[in-house]
Amino acid sequence: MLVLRIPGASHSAWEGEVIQRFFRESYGIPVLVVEVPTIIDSVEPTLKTQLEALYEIIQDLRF
Amino acid sequence: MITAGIDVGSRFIKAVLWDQRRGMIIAKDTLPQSHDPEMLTRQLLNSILSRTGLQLDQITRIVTTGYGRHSISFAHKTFTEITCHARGVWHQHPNTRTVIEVGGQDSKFIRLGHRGNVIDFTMNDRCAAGTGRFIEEAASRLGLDVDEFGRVAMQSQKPCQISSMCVVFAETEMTGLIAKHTPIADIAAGILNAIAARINTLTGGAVIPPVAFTGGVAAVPGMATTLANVLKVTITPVQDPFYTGALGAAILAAEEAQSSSHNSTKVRLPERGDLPR
Repeated sequence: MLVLRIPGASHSAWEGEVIQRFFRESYGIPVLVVEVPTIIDSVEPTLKTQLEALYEIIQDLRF
Repeated sequence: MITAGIDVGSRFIKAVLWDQRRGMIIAKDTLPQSHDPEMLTRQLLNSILSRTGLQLDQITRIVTTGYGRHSISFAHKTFTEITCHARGVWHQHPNTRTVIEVGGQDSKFIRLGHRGNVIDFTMNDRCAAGTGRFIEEAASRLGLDVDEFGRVAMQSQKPCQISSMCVVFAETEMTGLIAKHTPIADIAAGILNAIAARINTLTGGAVIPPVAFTGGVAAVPGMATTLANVLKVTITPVQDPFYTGALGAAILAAEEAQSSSHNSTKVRLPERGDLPR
């Protein structure tokens, strides 16, 4: 599960983490919470790494 | 079958040559990162090949990882450092359920399944807080190298409270502590505690043992003990934590080669003129 948060668009700073914890604990689903668009360009490589890692988890589950 | 795993990290490039048949590392080395990771990686690989007496065409497959993994044109495949560190740790400690990896630029909390697969992860994505860079800056401020910094921290009887997570503000706090003639050991220990506290926030309080600590920061004296105290868990020491990502990449390369029809692919390192301009 990918939770995309738009910086500044939510009144709850913790909703992503709440969703993440619920799905992790209740269903064992890997959940990634990211903010898009990134606030600064320098966090883009980290964001890409996180998305790639989530993809690798899914690939590993499939095969 | 010989494979290579290369961790193109933010501070260092690490390379491991892996012998799949014997199940062991046959060579490893590192170089500090610079502006041309492809050239440095080629140099590093050539260096360990010449030391082992191996030829390039004896390497079946090359996998790169780390933040610069996509910048190496001669890699057969890339994996994220999350997957590679998990694989490297699992090779050494096959019961591990949690991997904490702290590198030069970021830190990661990785949960493993019963077969060593990554089932979930969290990564710091904002700043140098809780990373090797944080220690480097703090050590530099105290006129120490990173190893000395760790050893000095272990002598502390009363660690300082460093409340700032930001490197810049933490340095300001350190300046104040130095002005008050606070022992260096207590300042250093306070920094290690601050890093461990930052890593703790990544875990969300859900640390499942056994826990392994890896990445370059795991090699800093006193860091594993500090982290174990903050997390209130026993931490399994990982041998050569600096190379765990490269090791995992090399093992994944071997596994890929075994299950792939591309296992006869020969490696050709590009020359300078081959590189994109």
